[in-house]
Amino acid sequence: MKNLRSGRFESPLAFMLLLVLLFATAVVMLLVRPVHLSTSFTSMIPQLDMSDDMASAVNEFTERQNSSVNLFVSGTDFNTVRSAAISLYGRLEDSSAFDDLSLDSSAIDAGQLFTSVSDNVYNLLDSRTRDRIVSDPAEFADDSLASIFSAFTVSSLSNLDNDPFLLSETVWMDLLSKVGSLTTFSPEDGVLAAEVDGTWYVMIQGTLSEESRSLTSGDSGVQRIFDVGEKVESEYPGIEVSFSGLAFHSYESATGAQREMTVISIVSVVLILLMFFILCRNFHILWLFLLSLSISVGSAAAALVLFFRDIHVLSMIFGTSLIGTCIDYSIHSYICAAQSNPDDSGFNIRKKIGRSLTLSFISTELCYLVLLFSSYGILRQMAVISLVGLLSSYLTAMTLYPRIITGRMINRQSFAARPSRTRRLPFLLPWLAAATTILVLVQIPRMGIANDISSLYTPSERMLRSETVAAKAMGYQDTTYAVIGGTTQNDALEREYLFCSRLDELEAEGLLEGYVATVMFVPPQSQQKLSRNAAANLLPYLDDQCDILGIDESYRKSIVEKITGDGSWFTMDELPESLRAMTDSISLGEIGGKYYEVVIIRNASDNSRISEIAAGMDDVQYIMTAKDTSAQLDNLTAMMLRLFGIAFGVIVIVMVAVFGWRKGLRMSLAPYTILTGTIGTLVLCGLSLDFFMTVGLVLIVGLGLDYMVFASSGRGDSSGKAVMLSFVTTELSFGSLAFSSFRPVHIFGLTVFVGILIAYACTIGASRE
Amino acid sequence: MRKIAVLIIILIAACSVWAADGYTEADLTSGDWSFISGAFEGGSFAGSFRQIKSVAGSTRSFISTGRIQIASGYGIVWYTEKPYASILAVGRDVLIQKIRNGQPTHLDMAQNPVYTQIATTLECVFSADFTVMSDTFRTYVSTDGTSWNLKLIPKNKAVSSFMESMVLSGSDTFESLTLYETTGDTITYEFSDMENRELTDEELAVWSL
Repeated sequence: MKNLRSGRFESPLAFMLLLVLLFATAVVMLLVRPVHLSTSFTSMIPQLDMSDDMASAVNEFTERQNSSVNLFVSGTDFNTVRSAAISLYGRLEDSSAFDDLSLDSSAIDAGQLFTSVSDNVYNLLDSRTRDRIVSDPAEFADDSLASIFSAFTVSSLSNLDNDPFLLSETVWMDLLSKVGSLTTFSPEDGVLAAEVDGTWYVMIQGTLSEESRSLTSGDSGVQRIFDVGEKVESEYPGIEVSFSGLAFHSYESATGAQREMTVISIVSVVLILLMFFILCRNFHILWLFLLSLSISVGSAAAALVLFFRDIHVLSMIFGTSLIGTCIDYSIHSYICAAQSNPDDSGFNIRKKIGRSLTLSFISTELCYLVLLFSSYGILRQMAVISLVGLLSSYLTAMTLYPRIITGRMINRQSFAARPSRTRRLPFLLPWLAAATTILVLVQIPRMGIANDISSLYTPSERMLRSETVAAKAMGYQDTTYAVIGGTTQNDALEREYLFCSRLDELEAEGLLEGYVATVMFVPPQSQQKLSRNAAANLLPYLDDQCDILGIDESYRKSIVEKITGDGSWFTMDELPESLRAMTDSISLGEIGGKYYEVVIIRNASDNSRISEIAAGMDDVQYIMTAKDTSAQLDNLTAMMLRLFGIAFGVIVIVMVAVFGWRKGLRMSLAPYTILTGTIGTLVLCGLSLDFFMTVGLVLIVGLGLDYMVFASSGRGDSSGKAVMLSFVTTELSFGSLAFSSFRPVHIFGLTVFVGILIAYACTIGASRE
Repeated sequence: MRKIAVLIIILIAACSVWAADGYTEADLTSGDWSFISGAFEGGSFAGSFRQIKSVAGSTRSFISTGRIQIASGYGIVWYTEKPYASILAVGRDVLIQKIRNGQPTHLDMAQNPVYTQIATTLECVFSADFTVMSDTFRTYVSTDGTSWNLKLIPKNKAVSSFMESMVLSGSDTFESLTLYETTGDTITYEFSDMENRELTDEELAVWSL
């Protein structure tokens, strides 16, 4: 501070070196470890409260869901639907957008399933069959003969030599019933088709390549699907092409947000430039602004590259808000120069505003620091952008501007240079504070932290229609899932089996409509052991059975060996390809030294019961994405408000230290009024105190306080004009975000718009001070 | 081009095989084959059956006898009596099985598309619904003037994954049905004493098991 006052803080060399070092390191980092620009909708969601390993497993599953897409071609005539689906498939088949695309999935290949069941039948008996055998093995043996001679068996008799008790019949029935419950689709004339309420649906399943999911990629797989879908619809009248998958929503929301941000940024920058030209009558301030902005954006981007591997597009969008802060420092420097003697050097000008700049810099950085402590990755990225960008702006103003700004670059006829009439208002701040306090007190019954993640994204009409079609075709609307960990693959399956047993009870009560789990097809070893033990009860009847069926003696030894030997376990590797494809998507494998499985639960009506079951088991996490994320955002909001309270306390102490007790405390009324006024107004408008509003509150206190600092730093009209220009530019750059249709951005923008308005009112109301 | 040539050769070869068997492809809906449809009484009927199950790669066969009932709107019921008693009822979306004196197993198969496809197939065969039959099978006929054989090859992949073909035989009446499974196993049902009549409530009670 002493250096600032004395003007000895002159050399820009250190700052320039710092910038060069930062950019060079960032370039090296980019070459060594390329950055991934994430546009995924799910990665906007904060990490849920769970262990890191479990979080990694959840992320892995989410990532798989992100890349998985289903396309539905529907219509009333099967042949037309089929032809349209084949046409759609043909146009997408060779596209590099897909890692995998399948029209005729071998979802239920009876031949493969038969071989798999036959080879492992003694390991696969379900509990009901086991109980039947154990309770009366003689009767079971007779029953099996009756089955063999009955009119029709689901299983083939060609494996009788190895399965004389026709155990495969019960395993088959069990499997068929499970597979049938998983999907309404079945292979139909070379495609996967389903008929629901007179409408035929043909499904194409695909996995998008990583490159094609990127918005930065020239060949976006999602856009290609949309384009081809439209062509097929136009070529086949009466045919509808629908899309289902997170990738479609991520693409729509991200491209929409990008497009919108581009428009908003361009419009706000143009308006700001126009205003400067009118008020300053030259573009010198524009060069200052562009210099500050380019250094800030460049250094913020370099810092992002240094600290983060995955950068979310939302963080980049937030980066556009740097325009507002960079411009503030340029305005204060320029207006101070305009109001100073034309012969004043840049260093003299800096001496006049150095303390204000530093104070406002510290108070704003303190507020951004709050965001840095958040466990929400995107928020940390936003904090880094803002902290580094603002630091660069500050250093630019303090080290470069004194060498650039001269009295001669000012148009003395302009509004900025003209002396203004002094109009002192009474000290209104305490009244404003009292009014906002009353506003908040009145709103208290309606106030509370409430986040609803599902309200933050509104799918387009097309995607909404698509998801409705998909839900109708697939036969379910809502899925939740549980992630289950274990020290080994089998340990994970054992836990999954226990969890699913509890789900069976809930299903029997009608509280859910089924689930998909690996244990449906690959029982854990404990169950396989029980299966073999049960089958052993049939061995005393083996000879008689073989005699009746004419089975050669050579087979009997092998049967005994299969049942009584320690034998091999039935594993996922032995599943037929069709089922393997299904379990691959839910069996996550090894992550961080543990093995993870996912159970997908359909149409659960009592999530609290499932949560209780999961909570009672180790390494089981039940995920209800919307509800859990909303709860997590509630926690984050509460945590940020607490941190914000601490930052607020620190700001008050700094104010008192700089301005003294009386003035410091009276100035602290400003952030208090800004906060209460903004919260009260927004709640009055029907908004809840949510995460995105809290982020906005953090920012407005930081920026709003700047006005007070500049206004109080006391150079009369010059600071008043600067504050007024800052206010207008901030409203234009941040407040314009309120026009976004992307709800998080809209809430954030609206908060900043209202907050900055109140902050400016506070500054005017405190002008006498 | 080479692929097309190979395909044509395979098709010609396949046709030759059918021709060698005495079968010719037939459009059952054309009316030329009314003498076959006449063998089916339609509606509900009941009779006796003899079933021979032959296992691929083995000389073993399992022979059983019993009664069969085809109930219009319900499905088909086999009452196997000898050598072991069992009941099997195949409805369009339900499978009921009762082995000897045990408890009946009632499986709701409405959500199992493979099963419903099979059930629909059996239903159209037994009810001689030639329109559905032509939609779901490629149909071939061989006849010597008095008796006829109707060969059905499923179009649906779900069905063809376990059933290679089906041959229905008869003269004035429908006499036998042989099911050729993809595993090589065959099941032959020989029908006798078939009478076209409404089933009694007692006979239909099996569907409520």
